[in-house]
Amino acid sequence: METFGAYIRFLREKKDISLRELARRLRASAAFVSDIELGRRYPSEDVLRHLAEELGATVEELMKRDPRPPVEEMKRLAESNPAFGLAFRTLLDKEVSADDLLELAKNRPTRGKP
Amino acid sequence: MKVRKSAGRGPFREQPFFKPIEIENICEEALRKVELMPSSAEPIRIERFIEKRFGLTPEYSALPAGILGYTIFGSNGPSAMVIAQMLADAGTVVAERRINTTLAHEAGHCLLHSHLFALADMPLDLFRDEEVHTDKPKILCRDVPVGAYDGKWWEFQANAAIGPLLMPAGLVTEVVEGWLERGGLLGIPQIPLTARVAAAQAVSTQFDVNPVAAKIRLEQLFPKTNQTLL
Repeated sequence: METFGAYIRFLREKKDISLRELARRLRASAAFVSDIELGRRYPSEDVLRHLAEELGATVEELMKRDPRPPVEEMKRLAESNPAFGLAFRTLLDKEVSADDLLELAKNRPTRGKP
Repeated sequence: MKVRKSAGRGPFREQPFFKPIEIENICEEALRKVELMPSSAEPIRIERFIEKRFGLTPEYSALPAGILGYTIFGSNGPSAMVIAQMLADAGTVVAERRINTTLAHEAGHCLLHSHLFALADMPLDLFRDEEVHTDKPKILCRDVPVGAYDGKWWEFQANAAIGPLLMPAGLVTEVVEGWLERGGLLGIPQIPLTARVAAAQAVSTQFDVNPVAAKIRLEQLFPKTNQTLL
């Protein structure tokens, strides 16, 4: 799966907009947009909404690619069910790759669906 | 283009020579190839040109004082281009236009010098720099006063590409048409001295470049001549 930044760049290029042209439309600096595309920074909700508008995407579509680890959510899960703690630790010990995890998730039926 | 052994003039094994008309043609052809040569006078989308022509997006990062940008080259051509973040953060018209000329300068390196990095036995140590640390060969471009020539022919050539890339000759002629006078025995088009400032201002506005870049471009295309000569 494409990273958030790579997806932004893909959409931008599809629209034939240069990085600085997009920055101008967002009223942001070119360095900020450059950092977003390179995965160094993540936009605020406002900028995300604006990005979606400019690139002809939905906010949900962009948020699916949010690269930030949901640390608080993982903590909460591990506290409510120790098996999660063990599972997370095992992932690290066995050096399971992000691609392996995404593949596993892709092959699982979505919750609530048969 | 002629080539000769570099004879110690810089880090390259070879030194290519380009006539001004060759640089004009290389730049115009490159713009046309990616469909970014406008049909009438307007700012050239130089950043988009770099993305489409070389398949890389310029990055805006903090660079040491005095360094405006650099391009990293591999054996297959340019692989990364970095522009000084301070220019992007300034948010002024002058700084934005400075980015345009810096991008055009770097694009000049990509168009004119990529092949030099594909040559075998490159003395890579000469491309390593303590100020911008990467182990890859790169051309580091500093903020040098306009017109100063310090023997770095590759910088001189990249500067020579700025005009043709940002202000293609045919489109500049359209802009200054109203000021042109046929002068001398051969009827060569010239801009009278009294109109040069206004003409440069018009070119600057039309192509979104700083007045000094426009002035230099007019010097290239319509040099001041003694009216009594040719």
